[in-house]
Amino acid sequence: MLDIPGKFMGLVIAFLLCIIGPAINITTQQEMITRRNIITSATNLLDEVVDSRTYTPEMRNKFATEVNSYGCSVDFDVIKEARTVDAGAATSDTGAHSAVVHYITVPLDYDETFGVPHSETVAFKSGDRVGIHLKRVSYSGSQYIVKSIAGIFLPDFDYTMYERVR
Amino acid sequence: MNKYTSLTIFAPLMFAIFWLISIIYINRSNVNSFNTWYLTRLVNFASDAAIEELRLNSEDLQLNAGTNNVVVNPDIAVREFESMMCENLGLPDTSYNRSVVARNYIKALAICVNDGYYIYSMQPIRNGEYEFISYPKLPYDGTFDPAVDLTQFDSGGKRVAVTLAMDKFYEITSHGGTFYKIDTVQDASGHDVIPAEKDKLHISEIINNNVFDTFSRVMYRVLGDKTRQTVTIPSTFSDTTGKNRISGTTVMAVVDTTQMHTGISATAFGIGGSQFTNPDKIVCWESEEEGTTYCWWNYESDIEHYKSNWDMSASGPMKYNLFGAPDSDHTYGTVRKKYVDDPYEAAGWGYSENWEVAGYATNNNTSTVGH
Repeated sequence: MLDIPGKFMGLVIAFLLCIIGPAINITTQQEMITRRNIITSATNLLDEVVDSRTYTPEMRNKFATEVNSYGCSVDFDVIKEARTVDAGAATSDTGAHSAVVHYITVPLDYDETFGVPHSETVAFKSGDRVGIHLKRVSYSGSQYIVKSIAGIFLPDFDYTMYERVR
Repeated sequence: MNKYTSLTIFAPLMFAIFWLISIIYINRSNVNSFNTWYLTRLVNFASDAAIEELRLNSEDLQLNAGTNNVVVNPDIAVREFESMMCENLGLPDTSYNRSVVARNYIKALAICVNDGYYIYSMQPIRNGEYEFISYPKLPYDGTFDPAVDLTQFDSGGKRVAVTLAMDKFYEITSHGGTFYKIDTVQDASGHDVIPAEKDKLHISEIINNNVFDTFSRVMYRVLGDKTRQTVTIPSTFSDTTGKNRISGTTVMAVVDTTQMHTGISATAFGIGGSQFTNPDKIVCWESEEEGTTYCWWNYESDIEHYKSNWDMSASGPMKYNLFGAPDSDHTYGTVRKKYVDDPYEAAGWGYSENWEVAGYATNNNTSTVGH
């Protein structure tokens, strides 16, 4: 048996092309479908808040269940930004004011003792912004394998979305 | 080494190379299609926010007699869009960040209002500097088709534009690249022309082609040779052309974050809009002998037409001849009469009480009116 290095190289290349490559592709495809589902659930949650102008613990629990059913653990934060209008100083001879709009982040209450999110309904005013920040904290099994072999192919799961409340 | 050695090495090697390239390409296209989908959602959120801002925070608080519209400032919509886009891209909402987003990522932003549209993009202002500003307001004209026969309305040879709410035509002229409204197109008896119902769909298509054509040209100029994509909105629910029609105040934007080094790298198109509702206003009420009945008329009819019949010189209450009006040829729209049962229902339609409610006698053909 001659040309051992050549045969070895051939084996490695064959393994890489025929097994690793498709595995990465299939896992990436599955991963993107999972992300799409998670983002769609998050958008549905935001739409619900936008239309009802409230954010209740029931919504939060339902979303937490949905979003963690895809095999990976996702952490999320709902952010409220209250819209305020600042009349501003007079900027012209006629005394006209230039109004400036600010969005102020309002922390949603956390229970200090237990470190769990609020247990009461949060109310939004029309014009406020509601946002959600999603971050993944752990992977499913196949994702972990793919990530350790070819982690450069997948972007991090860290998404922020904002919507304006009606 | 026989004569087939190079072939047996070359062919599998080529196969291996192409296979590797296709693996990498498939992987990237999976990720890219997700990025585009995600960015489209973000741009849609920002467009919706811009429309809300335009709708609710217009700055014209003057009471303009005789108009049923309001003047909006498109810059507030642009500011809201930039601000929302900043937050969605993970940048804090400061004026510096907003200008960064506007200059680098928002390629084209169109705001369609009732009588024209604005398109914002990066344009040169002076000395090699660029800024994210709008073209002067462009009208909805397009080249009107002979099938929509406007010649009977004495527009002969003039350039005609229409409003999005389809309530009037007006003549326009252009001078130095800016368009000016001259006058509304009127027919022989001096009334404004309203597009007929059967023509509205066709006119709407013409307007839409016009707007999308201009938008595509701006995009092509801004994005350069990188794209020949034209902008259409595929619609699953449209039964006419497969495109969603612009029929109300709309904000459309193309955002391209491929220059961003972190985060989502994609190009996306988003749209947000609201609908014009022609409010059915109560024009007048009429009382009958046994009580008061409220009724309303569809505002599509030419209100000026009726106003001319009010008798301002009479010393009593204003009398107005409803039936047997000078020309019953109501080709300008539909007049509808509907009875409502109580003042609350009338208020729901926009009626507000006035001092003439206190009873005045009615006559055969005339009624006292209040509006």
